[in-house]
Amino acid sequence: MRLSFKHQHRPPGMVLAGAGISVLMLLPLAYIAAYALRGGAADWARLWHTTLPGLLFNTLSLAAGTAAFTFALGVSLAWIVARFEFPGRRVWTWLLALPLGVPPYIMAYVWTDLFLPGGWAQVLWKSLAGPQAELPLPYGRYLPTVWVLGLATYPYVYLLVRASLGNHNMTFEEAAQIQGVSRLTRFLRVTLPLQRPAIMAGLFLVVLYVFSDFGLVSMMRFHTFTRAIYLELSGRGDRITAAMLALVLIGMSALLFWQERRARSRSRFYQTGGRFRRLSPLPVGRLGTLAIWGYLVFWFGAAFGLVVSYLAYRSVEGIRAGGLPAALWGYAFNSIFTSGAAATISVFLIVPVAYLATRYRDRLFQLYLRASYMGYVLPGPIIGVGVLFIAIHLLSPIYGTVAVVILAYLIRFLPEGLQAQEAAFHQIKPHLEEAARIEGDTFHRALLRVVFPLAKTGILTGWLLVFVSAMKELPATLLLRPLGFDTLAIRIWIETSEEFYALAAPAALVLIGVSAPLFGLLISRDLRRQVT
Amino acid sequence: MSRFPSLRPRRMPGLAAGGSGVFAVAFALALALLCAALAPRPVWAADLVVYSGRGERFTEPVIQAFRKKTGIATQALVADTTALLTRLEEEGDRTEADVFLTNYAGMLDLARQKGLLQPYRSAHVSNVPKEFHGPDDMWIAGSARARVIVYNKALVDPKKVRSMADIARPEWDGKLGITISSNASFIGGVAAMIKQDGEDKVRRFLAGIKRNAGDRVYPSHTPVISAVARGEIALGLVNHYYFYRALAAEPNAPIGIIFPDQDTTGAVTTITGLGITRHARHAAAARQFVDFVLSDEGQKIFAEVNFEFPVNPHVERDPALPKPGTVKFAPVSQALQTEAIDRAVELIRAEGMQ
Amino acid sequence: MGAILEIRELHKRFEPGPWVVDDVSFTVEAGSLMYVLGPSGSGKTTLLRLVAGFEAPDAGEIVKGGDVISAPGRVIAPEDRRIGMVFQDYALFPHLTVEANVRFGLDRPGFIPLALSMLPGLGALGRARRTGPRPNGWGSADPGRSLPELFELTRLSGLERRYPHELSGGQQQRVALARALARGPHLVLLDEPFSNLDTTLRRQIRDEMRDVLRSAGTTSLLVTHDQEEAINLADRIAVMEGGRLQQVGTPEEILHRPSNRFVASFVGPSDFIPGVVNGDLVETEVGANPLPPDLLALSGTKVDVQLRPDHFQLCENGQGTEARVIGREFQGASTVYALVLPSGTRVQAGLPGHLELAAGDLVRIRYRPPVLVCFPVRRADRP
Repeated sequence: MRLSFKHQHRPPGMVLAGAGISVLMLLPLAYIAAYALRGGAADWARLWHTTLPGLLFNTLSLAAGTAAFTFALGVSLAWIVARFEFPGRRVWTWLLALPLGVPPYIMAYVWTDLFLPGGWAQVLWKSLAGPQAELPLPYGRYLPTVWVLGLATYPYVYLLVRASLGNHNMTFEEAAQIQGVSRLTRFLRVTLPLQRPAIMAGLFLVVLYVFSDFGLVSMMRFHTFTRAIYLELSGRGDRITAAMLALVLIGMSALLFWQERRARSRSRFYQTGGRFRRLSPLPVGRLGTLAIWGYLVFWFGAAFGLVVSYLAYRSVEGIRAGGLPAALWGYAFNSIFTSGAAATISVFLIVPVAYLATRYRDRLFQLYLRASYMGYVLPGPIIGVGVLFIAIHLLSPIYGTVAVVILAYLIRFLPEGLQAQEAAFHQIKPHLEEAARIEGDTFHRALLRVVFPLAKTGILTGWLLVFVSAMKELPATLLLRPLGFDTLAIRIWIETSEEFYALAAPAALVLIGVSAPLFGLLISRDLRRQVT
Repeated sequence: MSRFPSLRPRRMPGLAAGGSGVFAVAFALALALLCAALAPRPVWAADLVVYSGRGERFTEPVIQAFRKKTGIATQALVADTTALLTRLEEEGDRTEADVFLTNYAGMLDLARQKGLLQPYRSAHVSNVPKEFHGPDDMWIAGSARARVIVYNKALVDPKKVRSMADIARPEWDGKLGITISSNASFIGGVAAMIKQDGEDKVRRFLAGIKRNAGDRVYPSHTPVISAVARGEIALGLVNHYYFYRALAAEPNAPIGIIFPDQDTTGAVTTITGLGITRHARHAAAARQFVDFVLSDEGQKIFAEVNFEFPVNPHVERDPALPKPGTVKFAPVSQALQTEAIDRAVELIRAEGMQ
Repeated sequence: MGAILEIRELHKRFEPGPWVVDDVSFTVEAGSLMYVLGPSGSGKTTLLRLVAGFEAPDAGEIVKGGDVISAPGRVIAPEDRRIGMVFQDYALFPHLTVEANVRFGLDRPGFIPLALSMLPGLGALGRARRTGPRPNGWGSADPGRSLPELFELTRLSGLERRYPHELSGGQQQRVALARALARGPHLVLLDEPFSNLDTTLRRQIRDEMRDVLRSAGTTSLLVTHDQEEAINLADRIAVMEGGRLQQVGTPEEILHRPSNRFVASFVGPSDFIPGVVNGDLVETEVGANPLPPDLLALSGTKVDVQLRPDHFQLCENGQGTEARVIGREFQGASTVYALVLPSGTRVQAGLPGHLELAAGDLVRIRYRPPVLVCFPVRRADRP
């Protein structure tokens, strides 16, 4: 039950701030729309007859395949870790989410490397099937791309389903059981449907990611929308075609996003009051533990273990050959600096928007909220070009500085922090502020003394989310970075495209080394909140 | 007399109470970060800015040498050419770039078509043969590369492969390695072939090499050469310098090089190049840079660090490369080649190449 | 008809703690409404779960319809017991309509439609029908036993398409009951079914539920801590405390012939005052009453006498004991007054409401129960 301040006056400072932020978030979209509108019906027809169908097919089929894969993998892993008691369960719960700390293009880089002639996979295959045997290369192929994408994104589904299972009320199972329904049928008719909101939320994130991914599909040479947009933007095509494609992609993402919000509000009714029995894990015997461990080790290995060990191997190789370039630490610093700055600034930008939207029912503030969620549906190259335009024509003093990169990060990743803070503010009942006001605090003091301390966790979660995402960002940074300023992500990209892989590996390790632990922190905070 | 302790409101020490203290600190931090982010950038201290798509390994030596020789503080922004072109275009007259340097003249010419370059003539430029000049002197080639065939000495008799069209013949089915079709050199090579041989021939060529290569499509040239050296494939279609690079690393590698079509049109060549941007702030320094790259000294660094062919006829090639006059190169009509790139891309897509 | 359910010397503990169900035995007659009454922690919920099959006993047996359904190491799964259950929080499946909830045990959707129903938009497939008519159930075509009939019985007609979150508490409870009844089970278990309801509605809903259960002809076993509810609805009550059965009997037996202090004080409002046996009377400060027939005690034995508010009488002409009013509570026709006796003991007495006594007033009262309830004093009770 959400109480809102219906009759209090809205804090003017916040309203203005919210307006400014919304406008900022909408600028790249406005830029793209302006360009796309220059395209006439003939241009659209041409697109429809040439590249559009192929891109639609590729992108949608990739999304569908990845969704199916992550559904199976994410749900099965969450279920195992929630339902059974086995040694190492707590640690596994945490470990299985770590692949999100690995940038997807690094995963692509490692996996494709393995399949290159002379790579580990080829060598293994030859030893098994004879020296003439050869595994096909994964470039431009559907299944390998789904494989890598799935490994990179299954944690979205895993985490959300795991959280939902933690809140699962066993009474439903018992009610079904007493109705005469067998175990498997119970799972299909009660347990799984009740997890549906979480599964859908996770799959939404996966599909949205597939739409907007640039690095991974580029490395695997799978031609999707975002990749096409980047290539068109890069001079061969014209800006208008790129903008038109972008508009289609944004439309698809926005549709998806809207559906997800609707589904989420409907799923609120799945909460129950009354007596609540938690899912108590079943013990498993030796054989069960073995089977479970085997399954978990396999998937964790494929998504994380293999990646890290391969990078370590290459790094060692590279260091032995030529030593570790000192510049590596400079790149690390750049990455951390820009990501940290973006994350910190984002906290302040989010507060007015989140606060106004959760406390007041005004349409205007809901619009602020929607505008700020833009970043979710705008792919990286679009934001890059949009910010380039903004910076050059509207904010010229900052062009050429790192602030431009930070701005791009803000627009792209604000939604992630926003979601966390929105959830936190929702949980703080407005009458707490009223209680503070009665005691004599002004509006701002009440905010500082009551709301923020309580929302601390949500704010911190938001900070971490923005930070970890910004560390991995590639296409916008490529476009916007100032002279002599490289982030780890850029470095990895450049090195792999120039084929000096030995340098890419240490940079990748450093990137993972910074973001994975932070990500682990994020997960463990979430887990601590649920009683396992 | 009240039994309750005094209820006078305590003054909170400033804002440093619980979460609000952390908040204030974070706010100050954000402000500080913002200021740092807006701090002056190296570009403002540079006397010459080069946007280079050529890759760091090959750009840095030239920059260093130039800086040492002239004392001009030079900065390079290295990125892939696509990103640089977008930036140049968007920046318009606010661009910081003085020189645009790329590995693919096609992109350079695209920049010219978009009005992003300015012409430059000098003694050094005139020194370079006509075929390496861009239209209206808008840009100039820096080095040249040939499309060649690399072969495994144990598996191939070089006399059997004389022309580029030979590698598309059925007898090499399953024995050819190529790069993915989005490789710029590949596209450039195809574009040159279109101009030279016409679209029908090129279509048949593409169909043939697609069949011959099958799955052996590599992300870049280096793995192609490695595969040839290992004997996994018999033939590879690469840029010439990869061969010499590989030999320099492994002098005993069982690989050989064939410059195709020596009896007919000569080996297809592509060129790298550079041009001065239209709104360059340091035009004078930019001109000096171009001259330097084309000078004897500059060419040695620019071209030969990567075993490429210098465009300056007075410069001696790297001794590993074939002596001048021993290899025939197809004439490079760059102006035409850039138009052909779009056709090349369409043909490649039509063939459905990976 | 005979006993539908027999609990025989049932024991259960959750290691390594104490016995949660400690040697409990009783039977439930067919068609009756049996209550298990006790405070929280008395083991009554565990007992219910043992009957349902969610827990396994450590010793003893549960026999239903002559078959052993629970024994140590041998437990028939809940889904095979033909028992219905109404959970305390109803546990209505939030993703299904009222109708789908009620039909849940009757429906048998195929595997493929079930799997496909996971996809967005195809949820309806999961509710595919493939029911079999169940003897005694409401899935059959028999008009007396059809589902619409069940909906009418539970006053849910017209709500079939609603979702649980759109219903009031009382409506949800009726859906839970309908669902439990749909398969025509021999026994229905109800776990504190009224504790989630507003007090104002509680009485009405209680009576409605009793009527539904009787009309359905089911045997019911209910669990509650609310003694007023048990007294008013049950055919028989089993009182539990600390895992042990304190007494089993009709509400009258429990009320008027409690077998021990706990039952006496737990059920119904009461106070205790000291008394002394004198011949065949028991003398107390509020009058003397005949010794209860089943109590043998010598004169001089000290006893604790239970006082129930409704058994007080006003006295006239200086008879009875003078007591001072210190508080009152209106209860319709009568008022329960808190009185203090000359000895200082406080008692509650129900007196006619028209007296309109106020705090400080004096009344003369005496205690006149139909049957006196008293217990010999144990050294532990009175230091």
